[in-house]
Amino acid sequence: MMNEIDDRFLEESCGTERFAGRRKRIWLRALSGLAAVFAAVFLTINLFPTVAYAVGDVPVLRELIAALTLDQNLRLCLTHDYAQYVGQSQTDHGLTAQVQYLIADPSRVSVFVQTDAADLDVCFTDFSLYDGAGQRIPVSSIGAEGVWNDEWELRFDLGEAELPELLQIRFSLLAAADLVNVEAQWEENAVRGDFQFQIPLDLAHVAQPKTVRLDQRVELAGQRFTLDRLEIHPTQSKLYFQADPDNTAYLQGLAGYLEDEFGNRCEIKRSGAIGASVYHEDVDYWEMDELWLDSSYFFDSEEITIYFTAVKLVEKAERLGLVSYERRTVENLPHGVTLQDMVLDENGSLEIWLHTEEQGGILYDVTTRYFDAADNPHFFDETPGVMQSTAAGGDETGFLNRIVIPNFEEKNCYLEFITSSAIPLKEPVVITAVCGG
Amino acid sequence: MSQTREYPEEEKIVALFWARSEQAIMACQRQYHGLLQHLARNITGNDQDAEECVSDTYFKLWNSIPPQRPVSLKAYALRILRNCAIDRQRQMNRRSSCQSLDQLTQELGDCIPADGGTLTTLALRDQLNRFLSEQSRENRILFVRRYFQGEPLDTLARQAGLSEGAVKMRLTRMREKLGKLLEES
Repeated sequence: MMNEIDDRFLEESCGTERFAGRRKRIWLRALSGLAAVFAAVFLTINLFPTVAYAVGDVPVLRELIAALTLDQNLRLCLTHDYAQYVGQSQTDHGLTAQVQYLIADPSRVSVFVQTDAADLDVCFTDFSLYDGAGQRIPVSSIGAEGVWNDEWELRFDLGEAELPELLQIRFSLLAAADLVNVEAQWEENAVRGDFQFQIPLDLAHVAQPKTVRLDQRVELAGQRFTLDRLEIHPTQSKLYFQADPDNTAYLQGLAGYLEDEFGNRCEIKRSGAIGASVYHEDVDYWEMDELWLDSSYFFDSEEITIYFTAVKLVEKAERLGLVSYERRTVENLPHGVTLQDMVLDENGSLEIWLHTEEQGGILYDVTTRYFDAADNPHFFDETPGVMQSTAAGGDETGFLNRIVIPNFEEKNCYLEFITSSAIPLKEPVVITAVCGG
Repeated sequence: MSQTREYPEEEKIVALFWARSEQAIMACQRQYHGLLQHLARNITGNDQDAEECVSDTYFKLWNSIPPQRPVSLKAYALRILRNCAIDRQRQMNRRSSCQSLDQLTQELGDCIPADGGTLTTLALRDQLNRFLSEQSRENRILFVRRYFQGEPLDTLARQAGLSEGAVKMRLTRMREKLGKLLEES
């Protein structure tokens, strides 16, 4: 029978690439896309207003980043000359983008772009990586961050993709005189430039990770995990682990840090992706299995100690919570999540406000979908349900999710929870491993 | 003034076969040896038999082109290779030692309806390819790699970024769908 397969299907199956469409979900500390870029602009400007005027004219990116960056990894890479100078410039629709430097290791490519739009609000969109043959390189997450007012870092986390010898970086740059909070209006009012840079990579000088085998079991808040390995790249460290199948809860967040014998500490990165999840096909659910932290690559550590300080867990038996408007309740709310309000409007849409305790006001989704009585999932990003946060308003107690369920039917709606607030461990769980310098 | 046309690599190799140039075999080896060896190894279960199957494939390519002029040389070579490898296993009466082939045959056998003999080859081809075209790319590659290329489940799981159980479940669902489709036709 199988000899009757069309040539096109045989051709399709012969590729060597990893072919799964379902990528690991990536854990972010900042919103992705346009909102993240805006947030980054505000973050940089708000935190360093005085420094901005002092060094705004310094043309050398290395010095700029060494002086300013919040990212320990980038600073260390640059101070150890782990960067490639590019120095290419393009202009489109009156906008100029200059790719200054690039930092690449097997886990990440960071491209530093200078724009000529220092007086404008700018936004990077549609940025992607391709190899020399024009094949798109699958990346697990992307981000654009304002290093300075006209200096940007475009960050591509590679996951399992490999670096090619010739890298194509494509992105679009939007620039407008006034920042408009509504994304659609922003795009309409902006000038758009499309850019495509070809950058040869010297793969011989791309550092391979130092891998520390762990093979140790830990128990965190009553749940068991096997720590597999720690990969230390120049730009970040990645801790790989597996949850015990007999655990009663899914791991949905992990806090901790690394420390070496010299007291160098590597925290969870300040922004961007902070981990990845594994997909449980049997329950159609994701669980965290990688934690990404700052890197100890340049510390020449011989011993690394991993400290776990808090976890976020969703009980397996309480993953779904029945919503009742009659009783004004949502069942099985995860640790630290409380119902703030519930309003049924005249069109039959139910609006639910959930508050999650969170230090630092970082924004997360508590739920991304609900199930109806027939077990059909409905995603909030496909319906009018959107989340809102008090973080922008400076509420340090946590954040709010606003959830809208159209055509709400009593007894027929189950929210699926994907996080809780942090559960601090009574004592940090400590694992020490020898990495051999 | 004459124009030089750049042929895709496959067309060049087919042209070499038609010109009866022995470079055709070398070009084939350069282009497909790894792929053919991998597929043969999946089916025969050992390197020596796999190597011989690949040699047989080159020989059959040489004998069949011309008169054949395959549109996809890669797919054509894969079919020949697969048949060579399966024939070899059967001739050498080593089916019991090739667990993967037995398992694949058994798995796929579930798809064929009890009165499957009434299906013409043409109808089978239509239904199979219709079924595959309706699958997601990811599932289609899983199915073809498993049942045409004989790829082991653990390898598929690694390639797809899924657990072995998830791959098994997907394949089972696809076999059930295919079986239903064939039964209806």
